[in-house]
Formats: sequence, structure tokens, C-alpha cells
Amino acid sequence: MARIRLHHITKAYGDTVALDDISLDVAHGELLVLLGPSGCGKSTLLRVMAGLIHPDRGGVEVDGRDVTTLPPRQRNTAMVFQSYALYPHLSVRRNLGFGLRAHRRPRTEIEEKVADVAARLGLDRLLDRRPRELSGGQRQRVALGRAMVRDPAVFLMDEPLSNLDAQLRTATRMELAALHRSLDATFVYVTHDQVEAMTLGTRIAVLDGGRLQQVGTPAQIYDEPANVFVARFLGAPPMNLLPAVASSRDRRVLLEGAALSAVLWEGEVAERAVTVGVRPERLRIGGAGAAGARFRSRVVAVENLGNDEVAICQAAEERICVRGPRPLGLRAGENVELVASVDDLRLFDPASGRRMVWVPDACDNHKLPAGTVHDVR
Amino acid sequence: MFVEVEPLRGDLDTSVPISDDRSALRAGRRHRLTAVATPYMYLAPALICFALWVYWPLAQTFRLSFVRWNLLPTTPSVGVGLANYRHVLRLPQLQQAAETTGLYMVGLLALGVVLPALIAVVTQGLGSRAQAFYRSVLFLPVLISPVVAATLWSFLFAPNGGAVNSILGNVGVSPRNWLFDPTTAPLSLIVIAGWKVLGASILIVSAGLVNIGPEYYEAAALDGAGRLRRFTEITVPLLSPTLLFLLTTAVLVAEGQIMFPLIDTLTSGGPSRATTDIYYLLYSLGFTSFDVGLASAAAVVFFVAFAATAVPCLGLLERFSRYQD
Repeated sequence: MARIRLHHITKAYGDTVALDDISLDVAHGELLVLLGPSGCGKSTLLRVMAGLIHPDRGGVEVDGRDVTTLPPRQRNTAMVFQSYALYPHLSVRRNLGFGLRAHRRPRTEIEEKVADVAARLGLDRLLDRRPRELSGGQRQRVALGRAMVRDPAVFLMDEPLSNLDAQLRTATRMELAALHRSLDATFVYVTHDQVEAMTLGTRIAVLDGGRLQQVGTPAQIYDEPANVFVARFLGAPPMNLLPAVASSRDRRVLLEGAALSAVLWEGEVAERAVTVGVRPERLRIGGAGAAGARFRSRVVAVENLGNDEVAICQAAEERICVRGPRPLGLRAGENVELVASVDDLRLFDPASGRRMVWVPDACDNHKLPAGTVHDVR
Repeated sequence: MFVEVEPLRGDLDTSVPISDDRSALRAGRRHRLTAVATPYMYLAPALICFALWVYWPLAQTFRLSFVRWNLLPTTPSVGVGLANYRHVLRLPQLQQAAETTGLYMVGLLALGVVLPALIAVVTQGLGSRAQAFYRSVLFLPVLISPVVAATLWSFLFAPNGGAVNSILGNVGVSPRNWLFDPTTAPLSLIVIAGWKVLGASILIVSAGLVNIGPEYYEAAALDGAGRLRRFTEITVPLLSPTLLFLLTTAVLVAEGQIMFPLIDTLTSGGPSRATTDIYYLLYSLGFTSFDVGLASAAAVVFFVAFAATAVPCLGLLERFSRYQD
């Protein structure tokens, strides 16, 4: 059992705040992905969990035990480093057994465990090689094996696939997912790769600037981004975001922008600025009479992704991308009207960047004023 | 009917050759010649210096070791075969000089390798400013010429009023004539030489420590290794190429290049040859007794002995330096 709880973790280096009041709860057996751009603090947070970095404020709890001040060796965690950090002077066998030797386990047990892990990872025939005699993929396996050999309750992984080529990365990703299913352990996995995050994570925690932006399942993160940062960070291409004004006429809420117009739902709203978001793959090329939001734009370029095509369009001052199965039937220079259904629109507050949901007038909750737009977390 | 699809070619039009210009071909040949010569041209200055100052004198030494000559251009040199070698190996001074050399080497091993390694490891944990201060202070002696250093230390070691005697006098050690007592003179020279090489050695070890990636220590800490195990199983093995390099330079090179001016300035090999090492013996045979043949034969003997020491060192260095990618 290993449930990890972080309470208000804060860490600063001089004036730079690396981690800003982060609280997070990782359930036993979960694979939590820490996702964010480089410098967002995700690796620092992982090192705080490992005990390699001590937070300025806040605490780390594993299974209800406060481990904030404990050294790494007393935490029953193992880590796979981005650079693998295999001991260059030791053979694969001794690399795998290092942790067990450090814990003064009997020699027969060490040999047994090393042989077992080597067999599971297909390293049996490489046991007497030095790290420099291994390929990138083999080194990655040794790094993984070194973590597995001690049966830790928590696996911490710092971008373990980033040094592999694209094909090997996909294959290893699937193996990692299988490994997570077969081991009764909690995984915390750092990456900046959204595909890894979406495919591996049971939940994703998105970080930016040392702050937690959103925690949720991959579907929640993708479909219901908490703010414009998350909306822009996930998706290829990311979510289209355009400024507009929300108002109501004849008891219907409308959106008007430089190149967009939409009729939303019934209700009354005081005129206000909003940011309209829509995923590129949710946009359709408009025909007559299609309901929902309409975006008037001109095609700038069309990119061929093999299976799909992405058309990059100019909608007044903004760029807007549409993605769909090839061929999209669009050509550069063409004027096109793009359409999205109301359900596929996401609205954000332009000032705070937070997503807003509509609370209908006939809401049961009497405390809320009728027809208000609310921030969601 | 099926027709196989032809793979698309990368070149756009194969019917026109890219170039058929003779002068271009000639230029290409010239270019190739330059390309072959370029690396040798870069090596040339070093090779010429080596040949002039190392290999030529070495060859001369070999030649002179088979003759009898007193260095005077007017005196002819007489070929004597292996007589010089027989004489050298029977010289009573030889064994004493070899023992003194061994003593110096042990001393330099302690003060030029072990102590600097410890200081570098300990100061590694200091703040960058304190570290820079420490290392600059310890590096200063490297910049002082050996003759100046020797003169300064002769004041410190002076039997009357020298700083060493007055400081040790405070803790109850009776004053000594450090540089003129056969038991203390070699040790005093070792202290001075160690003081001179310490800074450079610390710098080299520190550079070696910086090269050990912090992730090895992090991985070892997570693997459960305590401080001692991290030192013995990560620091020492990963520092071993640096330490071996230091061993070869600090012990073999410093023994020759730092000890000689100290001996020459402070003791002239005395008292009763207690500080004469092999280099100084060679020098005195050649340039004090003017027996060039004998000095050369001794030089050849020690060239072989030193090579026998250095070659395994370099071999180990080669092997250990292959740890890192």
C-alpha cells in the first residue's frame, strides 16, 4: 500500500518559486502523470517526493506517515532518471543489485532477485556488460530493473522515455503500462509529452510556473480544461481560443466576435467579454443552415499528417486550426466558414483564464443569481 | 495486368550530370591533398618541439652512454661499450639515490594525491565563494618559482629564529637544523614539494569531481546508499581516472621537476647525500664530475625504470578512463 499525500508544498530557489503551494493526493496503485512544459516544477515535485529535495514549506505523507524529513533511503521509493544514471563502472548485474547490497541483503537473495528482474525485462544475456556497451533501449530497461529489484511501494519516473527514438518510445510506453498493471505499486510519472500523459495516466496533474493548474483523468483534462493554459497545452494542434462578447437578446445568450457568431442557450446575461475555445477536431466545414457557432476564416495553409489534415486559417486577428480526416477538401487562399456545435464550445474568463460553465435560470440553487456565468476549478 | 510501382527517385533529373568541369576535378584533388595534410600541420608544432627537446636528447643520451667523454669539445669521446653500465650498476651512491627517490615518491603520493583528494572532496560541499577562496589560497604556491619557494622555506626552516622551530618550540619540540640533518632534510624537502604541488592537485581533483554527474549520487541515495557507501562506491571509482592521472603526474613528473630545484637550492644533495635523488645524481655525475658517459648510462637505466613504472599507470589510466561515454 502506498498512498502519497502532498500538503502545501512550496519550494523557492532565490527569487524563483519552483513549487507554489501544491497539494496533491495520489491513491494506491495509481499512475499519476505530472505534466507541464520544461521549468514548470514537475521534476522538482518528483524530487520532493523522493526526498532528494526538501520543501521550504509543506509536507509529504506516505500511507499516513509523515516522511518530509526522512532521507530517500527510508522512503521505500525507487526512481528512474531521465539520464538513467546507471553506474558507469558497474556491470548490469551489479547495477541491478546495488540497492539490495546497500540494504545489506543476503547474497543469495540478491542473486535471485537480480536474475528474476533480468528475466522479466529480457536482460539475462546482458548481465555482464557495462552500461556503455548497451543501446539506449537496453539502458532504459536496466534503469527500470534497478528500480524494480527492491519491490518499492512507489515508482518515481522522471521522463524515462525522452531519450528513446519514436518507435522504441511507443513500444516501451506500452510495456510500462503493462508493468504498472502487473505491479501492485503507485507510479508517479513526469513528462512533457502529452501523448505519454494521455495514454499512461490514470490521472494527470498539469503544472505551470510551479502551480498546479488542474488534476483529473485524461478525459477530464482534455475535454474540460480548467483554464486556458491547460486548453492550450493539450491537443495537437491545441484548442482554438478566440475573444468574443457574450450578451443576450430575446432571452437567448449570444456570442459575437470579429469573425465568429454563435447562438447559445436560453437565458439572460449582462454583456461581458469571454474567450471562446473549440478543439480543432470539433470544427466542421460549414454548410447552409448548420446550427451552433460559426467562424468566418480564410485558409492560410494545409498540413498533411498522413491520416488527418490540419488547415490553418485566419479568422480576423486570430489563427484557428481545423483538423479532420484527409482530405479535408480545403485549399490555401480559400474562404471557409467553420462550424462547431454549442456542446463543443468552452468559455473562459479572459481576465483570470479560468473556464466558466452556465448555470441555468431555473437552477435549484437559489443562492446563485439567475443566469450567471461561474468559474469552475 | 499488374505493374510494379517504381519507387520515386530523390533526384529530380538524372539525364544531366552535375558537373563535368576539368578544373573542378583538379581543384578537388588539391582539396583532397590539403585535407590529408591538415591534421599533420596542426600536429607539426608539437611534434617538432617533442623531437627537438625530448626525442633528440634521448637519442643523444643513448649514444653518450656508450662513450667516455668529459664534455669538452676539444677532447675526443672514446667508445667504451657497456663499461659505463657496469660501472653505474656498481655505484654505491646509486642505491642510496634510488631509496631517496622512493621516499620522495611516497611523500609526493601522500601530499600530491591523497591529501589534495581529501581536501577537494571536503571543500566540495562548501559554498562557491568559500570554495574559490580556499582553492585560490592553496593554488598560490603553484605560481611561485621553485627557487623563490626554496629561498622562502630556507628562512622558515632556519635553525635560529626560523618560524618552524619557534612554532614547534611552543609545543615543546626542541629546535632542529631541519635542512642539515640527514634524517629530517629529505622530509623537509618533501614538505616543501608537497606544499607546491598541493594546489594544482586539488584543482585537478575538483575538476574530476565536477565531472561526476549529480544523478549518480541521487540514484545511490535512492538505492539506499549512505554517505560512506556513496563515497567508496561512486566517488572513488568514478574519480579513479583523475587519481591515476594525478599519480603519474604528481609522483613521476613532480619528483623530477619540483624536487630538483629544491635540492639544488637548499641542500645541494647533502648532508652526506641524504637528499640526493636520481635526478640530482645524474646531474652531479654529468655536470659536477663531468663524466658524461657515466651520467648517460645512469640516465638510460632510470629511463627504463621510470618507463616500467609509468607504462602500467598509463595502461590503467586508459582502462579506467573508458567508464564514461
